[in-house]
Amino acid sequence: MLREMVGYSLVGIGAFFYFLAGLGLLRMPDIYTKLQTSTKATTLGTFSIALGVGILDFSFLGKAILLIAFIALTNPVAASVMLRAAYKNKAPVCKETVIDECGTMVDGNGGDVK
Amino acid sequence: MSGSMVIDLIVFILSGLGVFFSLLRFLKGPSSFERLAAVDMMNVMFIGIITLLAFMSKNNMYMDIAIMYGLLAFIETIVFARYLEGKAKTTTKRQVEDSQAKSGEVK
Repeated sequence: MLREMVGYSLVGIGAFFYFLAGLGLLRMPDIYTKLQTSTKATTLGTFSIALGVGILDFSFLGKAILLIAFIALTNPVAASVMLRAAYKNKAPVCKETVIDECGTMVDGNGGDVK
Repeated sequence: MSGSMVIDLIVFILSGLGVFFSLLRFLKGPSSFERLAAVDMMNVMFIGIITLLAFMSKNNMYMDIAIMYGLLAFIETIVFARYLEGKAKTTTKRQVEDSQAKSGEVK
């Protein structure tokens, strides 16, 4: 009984974070904030759902842990490569942005985004 | 309707809303990068949904499908991102300083 409660709670938390990831991808103003919110939320959601399924049924636990390790390796790399592609192609930033700490683009204003 | 069925319904509604919002972003997205981000996020959400379906149908083979789907989605994302990155040249500050130093030497 306790096992089912813990498992369903983890699955519910994961599904809620999927919902938040979709909402962030839909509502955030520019590509950088969109990728940040959606990558973090889907990583935690996948961790939580796989761990919850592994706890609910112990025969899934090995492959669930393998899936968690795989997502932990690949998801940040994919987001980093996408962000680098967007930054090199000078994707526009939203107007609330204060500073560009990377500052490698030379647009006449150093690192400050105006 | 038992308790676990209600929980399954809530879980699938929330995950489906996440996929639906990503699909809206894929259709609306002003640039190619946002479409690529939407596709990547949809792929990761599909991995979680396949895991849930594996639990509901009590079939251990679906977990293998989820792992292989994750591998192929990662390769897809990397390939499309490198393709969109293209030949975009950014001049860094250090390159500018080097070229200024060289021109200064010539002068």
